[in-house]
Amino acid sequence: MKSYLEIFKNGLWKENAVFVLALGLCPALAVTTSASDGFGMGIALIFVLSMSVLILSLCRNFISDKVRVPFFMAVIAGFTTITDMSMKAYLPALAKSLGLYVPLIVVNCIPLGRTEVYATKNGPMQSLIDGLGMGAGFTIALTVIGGIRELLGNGTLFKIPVLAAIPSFKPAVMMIMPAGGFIVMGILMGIYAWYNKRASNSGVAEAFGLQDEELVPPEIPDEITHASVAEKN
Amino acid sequence: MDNINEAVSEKGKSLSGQSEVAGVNNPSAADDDENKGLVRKTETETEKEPESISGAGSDKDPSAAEVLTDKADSEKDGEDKDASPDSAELKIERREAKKKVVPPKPIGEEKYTVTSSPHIFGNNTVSKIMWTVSACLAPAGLAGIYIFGFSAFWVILSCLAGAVLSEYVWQKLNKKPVTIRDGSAFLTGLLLAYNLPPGIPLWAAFLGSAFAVIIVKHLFGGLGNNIFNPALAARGFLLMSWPDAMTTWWKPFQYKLQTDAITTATPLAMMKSGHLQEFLDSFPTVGKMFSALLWGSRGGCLGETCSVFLILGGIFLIYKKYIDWQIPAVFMGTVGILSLVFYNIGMKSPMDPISTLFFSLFSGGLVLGAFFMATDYVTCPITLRGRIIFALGCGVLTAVIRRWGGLPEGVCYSILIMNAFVPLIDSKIRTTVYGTSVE
Repeated sequence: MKSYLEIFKNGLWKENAVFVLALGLCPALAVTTSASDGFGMGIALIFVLSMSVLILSLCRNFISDKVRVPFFMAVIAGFTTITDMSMKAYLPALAKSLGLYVPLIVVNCIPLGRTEVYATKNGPMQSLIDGLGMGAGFTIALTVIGGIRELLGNGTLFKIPVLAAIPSFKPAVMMIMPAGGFIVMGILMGIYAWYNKRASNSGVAEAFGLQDEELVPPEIPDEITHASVAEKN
Repeated sequence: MDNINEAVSEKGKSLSGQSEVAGVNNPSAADDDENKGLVRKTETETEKEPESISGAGSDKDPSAAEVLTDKADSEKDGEDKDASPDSAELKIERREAKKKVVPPKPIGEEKYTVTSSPHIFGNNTVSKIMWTVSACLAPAGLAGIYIFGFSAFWVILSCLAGAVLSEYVWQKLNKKPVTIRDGSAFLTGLLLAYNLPPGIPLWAAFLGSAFAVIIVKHLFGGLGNNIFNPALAARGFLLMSWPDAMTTWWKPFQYKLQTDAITTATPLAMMKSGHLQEFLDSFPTVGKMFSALLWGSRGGCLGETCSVFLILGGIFLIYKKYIDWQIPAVFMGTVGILSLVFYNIGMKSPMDPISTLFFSLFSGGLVLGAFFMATDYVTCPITLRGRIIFALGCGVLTAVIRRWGGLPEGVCYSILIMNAFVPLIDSKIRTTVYGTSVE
């Protein structure tokens, strides 16, 4: 049995939803035009995810396998509606800038995926911790992506002018456009994999309580030749 | 080569010698079991194992025994059993013969050089091609500097510096061999500069070429692995990031007037905004318009305007067989023909067909794109048929974007979009493997 801290760190770093599992990419690309939007989206997802996995983990022994997915969806949709309505009531500005993506948490891969993979097999406390860790990893990822895009594309960070304070600075508008989102996320994924590979080689992995072989991304051949592609086809 | 010839002739001699033996001394064996004899021969050919063809022991002629002693013998035991009981003398002779056998040298150790194809080498290298293409681009760039003034030179220089420096820094940081001398980064920078307006801020030009080299080229695995044309992708990046700077065009020869920069619109932008008639009216005759478009006295990117030098450079590359003529021909032909059709759908073109054709070919970046961008080795299909499909797609997209798209010019994005289709084209259109048939 893993300790709670390990479960949390697993979700936060080792199986980071965006950078490793590549789940929940729609909001990770769509709402990360600013750091605060990414952060708000992450908090909303933490609430929905942790509450859903807690409830569903408690119910896991009573749900028939055949109807489990509709049941998951109903619970997730309930919490999403709560989040959506409270956000509209208390944080109207954030709700407006996140737009459709808060209701779309219903069909986000992360709550459904963690419920199916984790909460149906583990107790409520572990599931809750896993949900919190996954949500925290997602929040950090979205905040970092949003921060980089906002800084380069708008010159601000959390709406505070940083680069924009320099008079000659001209923001690269592409970074807050969809193309910029893809580029930033791709580069961050690359850096993430590179860091984890290096960490696993230098023993930092042990400090994080991580297993070496699980960290190393699959080896990609240096040169994918046309011949090898043709063979595969 | 000499070695191979010698080896072949020696091999031929030995083979003919053996077949003589088979024919003269041992006719019955060949008659009795022709197939077996044939198999034997092939064995001797491939393995070069001197094996008696009289074999199988079917022939009990003493002369056969002599042959066996003369020739190297490596008959298998199983074959001996098939044979009728041999005399003891014969066996002894055979043993002695075995001792005398000099084992043949294995093929490929000394006399043959075994390599995989291709066996014929051209003397083209990456750096030679890159520098030749750069040289072919040079006249158009000089014309651009002449037309738009010395600031165009600074734009070219900062692009080159950005591309070469970022390649150097990236390869140093990654502890890879530095390949800035092969000219590929230089060519990327040069092509990007030709795609920029002459008045663009120099830092934007520098950043754009760094983007081209690092993000579009090296993050995908370096030269030969990039999916998109680096220069065009960087142009897309600049166009999206700083649209104002990227769409401010200078009037040709405005530097001679000793005033501030006078801006103008490109011919295609004027057509897009419905001011085509004004553009046509600015020339006294149609012939003047033709020569202005050909020699590049118009608003546009600094390297794309002088079509004459670009075409000459492209023709030289075709003559040297560095590029196929099919891609530029199909690309430009498609755009020209489709423009004739499209400019009469939903709008009334003030131009006659010949002017329309001329305008569609030389008013934008089509010549530069068709000769130097779409023909990039890395980002165009391998087979000729694939390249024609690629060029056709580029042409259709360009004409559609020009007529109905949001941008006045579509060459850049059409090539980028077709670049994304190259793996698909390559997987669907393949040359047949030699020796197999197409079903």
